[in-house]
Amino acid sequence: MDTPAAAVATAGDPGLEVLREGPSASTVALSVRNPEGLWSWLLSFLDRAEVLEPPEMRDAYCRHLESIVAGSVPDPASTP
Amino acid sequence: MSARRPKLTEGERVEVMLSVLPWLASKGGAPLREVAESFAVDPEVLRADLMKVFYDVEPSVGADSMVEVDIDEDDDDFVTVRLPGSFEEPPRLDHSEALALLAAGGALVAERGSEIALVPALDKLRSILGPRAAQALEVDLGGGDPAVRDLLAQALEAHEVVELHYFSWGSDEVGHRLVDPWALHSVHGHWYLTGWCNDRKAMRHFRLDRVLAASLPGRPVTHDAPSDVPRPLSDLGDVPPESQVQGRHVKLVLPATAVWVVDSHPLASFTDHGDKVEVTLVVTHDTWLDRLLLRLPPGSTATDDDGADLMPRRASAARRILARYRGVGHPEAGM
Repeated sequence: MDTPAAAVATAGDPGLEVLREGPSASTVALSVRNPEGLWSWLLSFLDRAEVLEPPEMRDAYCRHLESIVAGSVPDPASTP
Repeated sequence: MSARRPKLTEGERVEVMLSVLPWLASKGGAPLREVAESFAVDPEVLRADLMKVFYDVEPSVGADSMVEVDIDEDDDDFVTVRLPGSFEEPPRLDHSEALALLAAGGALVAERGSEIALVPALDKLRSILGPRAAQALEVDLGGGDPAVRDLLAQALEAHEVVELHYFSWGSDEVGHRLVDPWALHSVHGHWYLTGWCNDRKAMRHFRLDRVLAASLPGRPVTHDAPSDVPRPLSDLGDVPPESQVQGRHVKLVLPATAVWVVDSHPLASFTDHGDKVEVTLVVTHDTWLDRLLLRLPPGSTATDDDGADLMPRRASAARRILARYRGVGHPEAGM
């Protein structure tokens, strides 16, 4: 996440684990139970946040974005 | 005649009210001027506080537990007060009620700072409940760095300008703002600073968890707070008061089960169509609109003032995020 987004994310959820803090971006870790909830949270940061890993979560988020581009949102049950 | 006291703090005004109400009720009423002289307070402040008690203090159980206040302007501003029974009988709280009262009082003190009429009462309650109960209760309204909150409280007390390094959620911009602080509010679990933004030349609400840093440049405020500082109504943050909003109207049709999407936003209109709801919002920032569109649930539609479909805009916003993934990508993107 870039620095302002990371500041907002950690202020809103002090439980987030900050793995690395760089001058322009930070890496945070969180445990995810519901990918739909994660998508909604991530979307609120627009392109200021990026899923790094695990790769399957990164791919699933890209598919979610592609489905928005294509004009439809998949059934939540079909996402991992 | 008593000498009028200097300007009272909010806590002192509460203390005055707690004395004035039973005094008036037992006496059967008195002219406002006489009450003001007896308690050494400004008559207009007294009038405002009496009406505040009447209009703002909500009874917990039915209208018969309201404090009724009447000021008869045709009879020398004669004030009469009717108190509910709860004022006459000392309250008898069980343990859980006492804990609930302590929690609610703690939350109020956390929001308002030092509420002098309340703090001693809470201390007394805490001592009765014992140290374990007091330690078990920690009231945290959340949001924002406590050090920033303390610094803003200090600026408010000293009537000093604060400089904020602020992430404006609506415009998605990071910048410095010089603000004349007016009040700290806690709304829907988030702290806000309300004040005069010297950069925007207007009143603004700043959400504290979006303040990246704050400092005191050592300058006195130039715009004093109005007598009734507006509270933020929504989750927009850094927004002008609703009365000044000049934005475009966006109409959303949402599945009724997804109405929570707009729960925390001020709506210009709301129509219930059974399985769907139609809402109109005033949008002042394009980035904010992008966030809203991206998070719309399946089965939603969004149109602009002129009826234009906003879904292409939604697709563009998603494309911009995807570009981040299709660029160089990972290891430690952007670090």
